[in-house]
Amino acid sequence: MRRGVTIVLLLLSGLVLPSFAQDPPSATDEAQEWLQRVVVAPRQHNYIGTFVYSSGGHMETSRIVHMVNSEGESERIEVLDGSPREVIRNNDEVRCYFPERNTVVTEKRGLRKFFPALLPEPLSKLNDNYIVKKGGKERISDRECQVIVLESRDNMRYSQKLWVDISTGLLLKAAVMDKGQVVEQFVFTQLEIDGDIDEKLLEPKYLTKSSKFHVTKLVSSKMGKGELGWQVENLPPGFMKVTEVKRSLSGESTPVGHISLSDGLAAVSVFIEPAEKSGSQPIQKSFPRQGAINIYTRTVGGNMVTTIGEVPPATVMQIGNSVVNHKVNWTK
Amino acid sequence: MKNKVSELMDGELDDVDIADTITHIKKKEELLNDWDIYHLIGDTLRHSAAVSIDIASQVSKRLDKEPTVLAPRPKTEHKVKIFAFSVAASMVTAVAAVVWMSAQTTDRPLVESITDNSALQATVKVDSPVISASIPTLAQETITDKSVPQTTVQAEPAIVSAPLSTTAQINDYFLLVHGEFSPRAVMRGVSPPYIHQVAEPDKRVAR
Repeated sequence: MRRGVTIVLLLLSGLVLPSFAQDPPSATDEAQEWLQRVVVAPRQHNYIGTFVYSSGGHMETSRIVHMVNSEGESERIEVLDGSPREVIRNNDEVRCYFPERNTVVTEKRGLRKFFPALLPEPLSKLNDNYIVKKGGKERISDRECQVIVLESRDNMRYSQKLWVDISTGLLLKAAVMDKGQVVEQFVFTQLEIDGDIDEKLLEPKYLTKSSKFHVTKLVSSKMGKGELGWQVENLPPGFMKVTEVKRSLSGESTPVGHISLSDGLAAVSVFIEPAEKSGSQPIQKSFPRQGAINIYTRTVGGNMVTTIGEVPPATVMQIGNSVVNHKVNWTK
Repeated sequence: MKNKVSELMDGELDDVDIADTITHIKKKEELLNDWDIYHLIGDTLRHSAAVSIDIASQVSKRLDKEPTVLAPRPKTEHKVKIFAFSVAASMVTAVAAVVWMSAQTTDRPLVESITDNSALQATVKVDSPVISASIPTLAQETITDKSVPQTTVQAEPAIVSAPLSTTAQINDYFLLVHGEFSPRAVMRGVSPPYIHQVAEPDKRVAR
């Protein structure tokens, strides 16, 4: 009898095991819906709050005012610790003020996003590289949140954990995880949702009549496929090229090549610039991680190739090491 | 006219044009601003990072945390020599130590050390084999070194400077641009570091 049971168990385990070995399950529809809510929530709700960014031993507090009306979204973020910084966003027009340097950086059609609007669009590409899972419920900033985990399918990228406000869909906390360790996180410490917003709170604090700011415009010229003459040949699995542009800031004659890559969630940028003539010996160097961002620099021919991304160091290096040039005079 | 300003900056104008453009810049505030902005941008793009992004701030943070050994400067006119030593620690962390010491008055050396596991590189300059051999110990145990008069704090504290690697540099403007694709880059706790490296804004503009 016992032998019979053992045989049955063996057979069963034989049936069960292969199903584990198959591809991990894709996102449950429900978890996917939560992500969709996170994307649209900032377009539907006013909010005023304070959030904290932390990574390693570093912590920084910011205040955010976000208003939605018939004209779209307006937002003001002020960093309260360290050197003052302020971001004013009106839909896709973004201005970043750095008052200590009398500098403002402007973008007309910026894709730039800020916490709590952290998720990329479209969300569909995310499934190939991350398993979207619904976790438990936790309380953040006195509000009940649903935890959603974006678990990386391999070690080429970090996992992420999101805490989504159940009643509005706003992201109240977000953490980048490396094998269970928090690499960096954003969290609201205080938040008021759907209150009336005084428009004065959206006005830049540092732009006064007496102050004069240098304006730096971030501009780029889109390139056709392969036009730049630079390519990343050995992309880590799951990464795709998003854009290829030549950037030249007004007044600067030498352009900088910029290839941006994405795995549906994490972004990596590759910058190519002619190296300075002095010190022509080959350089290969990784820089200390800043939050989730890793940086790797290497010379290719007479050019400096810098790879920046919120991915593990090995991924940044793999990308940086497979950048090749097909065009000698690419700056022309 | 903006093009002329840009060309002037790049040294691409002939004498007549130079004089002409400068006159224009003087007259028009807008052009003066452009001139400043071009330089700001130029600086940003070119020397990006004599001190690259994170290293400088990390070093200064570390320095803040390090217990400072304050010692009086020698009263006699001994030359203070700088010994910088990099210990590639195979076992624990890379230790970069900058050792300041008075070469002659070995009984009252002026010693400071910093440790950092980042890519801090220091030049090695060793005068005699004896000193060379003693440095690794010195670097790691300076704080407890009995020959250092730790308690004496005088008017002139010793200041430590850390030579940094300038071989590889990052164009800091990249982080800001990358922020377009990554929601994290700008507000990530460091202001776009390139801002720190650009020369102070010109007084003319700030007036």
